[in-house]
Amino acid sequence: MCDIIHFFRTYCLLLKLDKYNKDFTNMCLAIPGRILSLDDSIPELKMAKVDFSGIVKNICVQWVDVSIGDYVLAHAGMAISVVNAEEAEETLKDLKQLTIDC
Amino acid sequence: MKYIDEYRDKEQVQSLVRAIRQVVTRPWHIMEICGGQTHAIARYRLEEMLPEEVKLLHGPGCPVCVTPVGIIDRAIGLAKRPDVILASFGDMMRVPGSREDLLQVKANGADIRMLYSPLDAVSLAAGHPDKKVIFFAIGFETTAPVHMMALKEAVRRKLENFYLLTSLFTVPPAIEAILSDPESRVDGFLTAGHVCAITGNEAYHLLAKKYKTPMVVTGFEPADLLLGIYRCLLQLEAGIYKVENAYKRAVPEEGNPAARALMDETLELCDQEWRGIGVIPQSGLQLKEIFARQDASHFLPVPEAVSNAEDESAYQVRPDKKPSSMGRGRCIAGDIMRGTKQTKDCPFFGTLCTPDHPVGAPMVSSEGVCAAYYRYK
Amino acid sequence: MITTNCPIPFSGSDCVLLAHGGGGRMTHQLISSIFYPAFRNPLLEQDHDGCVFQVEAGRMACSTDSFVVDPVFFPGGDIGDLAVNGTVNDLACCGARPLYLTAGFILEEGLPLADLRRIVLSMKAAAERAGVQIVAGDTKVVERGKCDKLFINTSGIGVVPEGVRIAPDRAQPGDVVICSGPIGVHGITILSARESLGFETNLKSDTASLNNMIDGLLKDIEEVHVLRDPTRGGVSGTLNEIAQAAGVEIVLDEASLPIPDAVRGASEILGLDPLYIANEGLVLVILPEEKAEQALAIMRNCPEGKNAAIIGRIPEKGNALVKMKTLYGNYRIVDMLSGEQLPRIC
Repeated sequence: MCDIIHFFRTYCLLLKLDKYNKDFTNMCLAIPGRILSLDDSIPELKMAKVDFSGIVKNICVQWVDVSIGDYVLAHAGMAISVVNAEEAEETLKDLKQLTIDC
Repeated sequence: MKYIDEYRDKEQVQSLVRAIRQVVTRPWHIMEICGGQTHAIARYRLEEMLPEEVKLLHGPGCPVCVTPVGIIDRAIGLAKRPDVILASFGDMMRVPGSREDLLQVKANGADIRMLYSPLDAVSLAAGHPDKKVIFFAIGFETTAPVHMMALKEAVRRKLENFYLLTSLFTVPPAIEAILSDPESRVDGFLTAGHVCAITGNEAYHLLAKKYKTPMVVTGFEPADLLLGIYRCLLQLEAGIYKVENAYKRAVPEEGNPAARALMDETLELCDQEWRGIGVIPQSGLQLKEIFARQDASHFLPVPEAVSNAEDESAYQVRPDKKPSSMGRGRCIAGDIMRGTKQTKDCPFFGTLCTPDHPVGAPMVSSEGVCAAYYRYK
Repeated sequence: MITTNCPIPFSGSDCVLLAHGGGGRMTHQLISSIFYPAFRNPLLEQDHDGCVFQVEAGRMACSTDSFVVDPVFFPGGDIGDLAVNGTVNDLACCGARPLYLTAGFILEEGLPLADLRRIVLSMKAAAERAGVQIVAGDTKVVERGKCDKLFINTSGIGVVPEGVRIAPDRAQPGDVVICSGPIGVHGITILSARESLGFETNLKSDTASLNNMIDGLLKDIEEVHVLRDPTRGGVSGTLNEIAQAAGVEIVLDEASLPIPDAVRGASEILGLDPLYIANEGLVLVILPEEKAEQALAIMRNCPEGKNAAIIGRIPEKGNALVKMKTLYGNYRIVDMLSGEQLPRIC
């Protein structure tokens, strides 16, 4: 039975069966981006221009306290958290330590 | 790319793998509940870097996959109305309801738009005052407040034509349901980092204590995932069970109070059906009564026939096309999401069930466990 | 006696009208005021149903492509550039020297003539850069709403020099895959130009004619096996087709893929994979490993190939598919996605 399944799997891999349409907007995605400018003109909808390595998008920053130059995690158009630079450094230090120890 | 590349670094990844190998002495099963983490684990093929003893299980972390068929049918029913523009995240477009999916309905003339953010749907509503703009609001606690932000903004702009059709889930009850299942093989959990960035870690402390199961708040890049797995294994090997934060740069202990306040204002817990699993009490979020006017579920009743999660055909995407040549069988996605089986245990995976002709929803969504494993095989 | 004579519409219109496609005076006005001045050459001005020209004995190549990109104007070019460069590149990838193009236009009623003029001038400039002539054309007009601004079809003819045999089934074990430049640029540029997605970028489409660079390559290196431009379907789609045609395994090296930061950023946000994004100024060159250094030197000497790099190789044994060695040294299969990831990208 396992042989048959294995045969089928290899066979199907070789055929062009896949019409898998990878729609974009991967939902869990929250990407870090750098705040370029802030727009407080609507107090209930504070916005920012955020740079994601050369792509600039308008993101709502209503839930975070940020300044220009900060990094935020943006999910579906909202900043859900500010990247804590010190903690990021700490994690990288821990990882480097692991490289030395192992 | 800052704060991404550093956590994809080859040396970090390799040293984490070495560290994991050094610490493991016996078999462990670790589960994550987050479509994004499932996808990343498959994409970077992390599991094959781990020692044999460590098995990764993939819980029901893809909101697209666990949205009940009845709600998809309702979305399709609404989209077909000539006075409606239905807007949705891309991933929902191909998940079939009981007869068809949103993409087919769009091809037949329904006005359906794919958007990056629910806030864009508010602009859509403002630009089309003659139409009812409904956003198909699905997600876990990361996305729920974003939908609520769109709702508040529509209210602020006095837009009468903006609605939400919600399918919102919370993670802790799912963890509880999985851990209280006598067949559960889960030893430790990686919790979804971005969910915790909103909710904070409080609920997980209670679960860790009650079920004596370590829970590690984990990110999404390869080094983050391996770090989460490593910290979980350290606890398991030492017999400890607590909540640890391995994603501190993004997740403060208290989460995001402003987002939570918005959720408290607009949403309430409810019993929720999870496709493939069944009803989990108090595991869903629905709009509060004061927002009944913006709740699109008041437009049409849920179509009959396919809301019984016990009925195996309710899980299958095309119940009329049972894969008969492979003998009796059904989509086992529910078992996979509960952690009692893996994709390799499924007789249809990659053969009669592929993204082209899926048997179950997790083969359709790009974050579904089966699609992720199929794509990055 | 009743005669029915339609009055001639005002010829002072600044938009395309249905009458412009009628075959009568308005059509002639359109052709003589916009198309002829731009594409002027003796073959075109034979002014016949088709043009007649002398050919050398030997093999010829022929190719056709239609262009429906939305939006028609984007950073780095417009639909006219794509229409010329696309067909020129297809011919060059057959190993041919492109000579002549035809251009068929389907215009939407209401298209501003200024836009049409601008696109036609782009085609003229692109044709001059590529060294080809547009020798036959056609114009039809459809009612408003029946097409989106305009669609263009170009067909092309070229001559394949003696001894040159470029074909996908020539890919063989021992070959390497060279990519002439950064991946994913055109597709992301188009997405950024679509307002509904709401993102800005400094990227410009990489649309360009590559026949001069390819000519330089073929003059000096006999052993080029395959040339393909990875347009729709991206690098992955193209390489999967080649792997199937030749029955070989192609192994990409993730660390070597030249992907600009902005393409990576957009891919992360939108959940795309750069390997599936369309390119309009890239060519993949498959040739024996021993010739790779020489090929890279020739390509890097041309502006279109200055970032050329080896991105993969064909091992001695394997299945007819495309794999990728990840950053961490393990492998994953790079499948063909034949669904419509990004509609109307070229």
